[in-house]
Amino acid sequence: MSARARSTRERGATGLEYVALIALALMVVTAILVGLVTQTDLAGRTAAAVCRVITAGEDCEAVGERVETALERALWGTYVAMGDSFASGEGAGDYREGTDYDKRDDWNWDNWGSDDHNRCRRSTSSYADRIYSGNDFQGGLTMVSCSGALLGADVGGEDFEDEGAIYQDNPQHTGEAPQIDALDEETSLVTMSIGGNDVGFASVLMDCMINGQRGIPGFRCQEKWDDELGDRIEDLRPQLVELYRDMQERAPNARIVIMGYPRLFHEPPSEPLNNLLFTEDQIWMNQKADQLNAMLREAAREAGVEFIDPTSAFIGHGIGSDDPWLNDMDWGGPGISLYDPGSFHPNAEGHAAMAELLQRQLEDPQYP
Amino acid sequence: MLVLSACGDARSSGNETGEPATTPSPGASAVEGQPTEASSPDVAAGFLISADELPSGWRDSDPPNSSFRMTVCGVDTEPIPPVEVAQVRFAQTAVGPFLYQYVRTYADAQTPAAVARDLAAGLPGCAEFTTRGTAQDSPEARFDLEPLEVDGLPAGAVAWRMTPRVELPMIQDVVFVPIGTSLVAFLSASMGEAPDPAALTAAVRALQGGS
Repeated sequence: MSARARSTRERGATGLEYVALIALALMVVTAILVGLVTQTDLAGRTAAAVCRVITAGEDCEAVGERVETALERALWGTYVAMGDSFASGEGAGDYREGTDYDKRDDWNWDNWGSDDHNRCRRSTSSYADRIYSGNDFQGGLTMVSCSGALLGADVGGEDFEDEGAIYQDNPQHTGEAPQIDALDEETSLVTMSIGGNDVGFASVLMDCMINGQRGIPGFRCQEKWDDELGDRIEDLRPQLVELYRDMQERAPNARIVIMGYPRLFHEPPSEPLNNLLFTEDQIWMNQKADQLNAMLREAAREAGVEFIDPTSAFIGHGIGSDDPWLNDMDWGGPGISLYDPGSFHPNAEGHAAMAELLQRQLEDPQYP
Repeated sequence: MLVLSACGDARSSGNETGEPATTPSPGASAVEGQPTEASSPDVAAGFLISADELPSGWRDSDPPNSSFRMTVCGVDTEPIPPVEVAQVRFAQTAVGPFLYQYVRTYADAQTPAAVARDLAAGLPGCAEFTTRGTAQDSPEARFDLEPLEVDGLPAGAVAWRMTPRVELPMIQDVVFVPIGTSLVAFLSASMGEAPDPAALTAAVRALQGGS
């Protein structure tokens, strides 16, 4: 091959590479803008390289330095933690002052005679508190998640709008404003778990146990609830999409991360749980948790927000396992007469696991 | 009928003041109330038993979320604030049966003895009771009450069975044991069926040092 021919081919190749580089640069810029590139060095070097191609090298190192990582985009402002009991840390203990008072606990001396009844149970062991403690949020933490919170959706033919805690004062708890009010332009990160109460998981679980205790011949929880629960989950999806989009409008500069729900029971179930929850019921409830997570993922995808499914992390740590990350059933006062909402909720270890998932998501976003 | 019987009066080797000489189990929660000069640290926690002192099949569970304070047939089980509290819970499965232990330690021995004495006097003839909080709109809880016999109850102890009138009731076998400045309560509870008496018997025996 002659030197001229080689030179021509090299020039041709260089030209193609130049075009390809521009195309690549545009893709990289787009990726940076939507947060797909997360490593500081990689993002910075890439942005600087793109800058040099476009501008012939003027001030390109500064461009590289200005690129934010995905994590930095979550930290620059206020972290708002929204949601229900799985977000507040119900069941994880170490509740923040003023969030563990209920009239039914008046038998406790530290609440004797009080009419307040804030039982949001915001735990310092919750995944939100752990994330806040482990990162440097410039605007602090606003924790508005609350045990028992509903979106207030219209599901299964029943309208729970009056009971919603996202868009109105929470009547169940003293001093709780609508959770959505915490969002604004200074919000850099929003996390939320919501939907489980709207679907009615807790009441279905209780009903399963009541029927199990009665020993109704041929009764299987699945037969009674499968279609109803499935319908509720599907009814909830468009309303969640609407909520997520509203959150995006109210917090336009924030990353919004939806946390799903873990399966409750160990798989395969190791025991029929005192003949109150048969193994078939446990398997079925786990399947319903999967269905709920699938719906949450789909809603998040449709709205363009992030989603974390904790299912895999909890495998081997369900109720009935040797190392459960979910609480046993418990009762509250007086005596042990009332079902305690901390039952079947993630304990401190469970929240630590969810915090680990969230930290990973903040540093290396995966989109639904 | 309430059963009161004599047997020892302190956990483990114990001592004349009824203070314990054992360590609490891992799942226990011990909270200091309002410390006074009369209390020494860990008195309440020292009365807590452990899962290996119960029949096979019992394991540690999450600590109870609330106290056991209530008014049973007119008797307030915590008439004044204790100076120390400790509580622990054991389970056979995630939904029971459960065994709860509550320890309340006071500045003197009069309160524990008075509570047990008032219960012993007030429970006979009391077939049901209603209890509620102090707030105007506090929920009420209504219990049916029956006498209970428990093997090996120490002197001054009192026992009964109570069942809340709710859809899914936990039938509760209860024992209150005054030991010096402390009042120790055990609740053996099972959903929808009578608790196995073996657990409560073993717990009472463990409290007395396995005698």
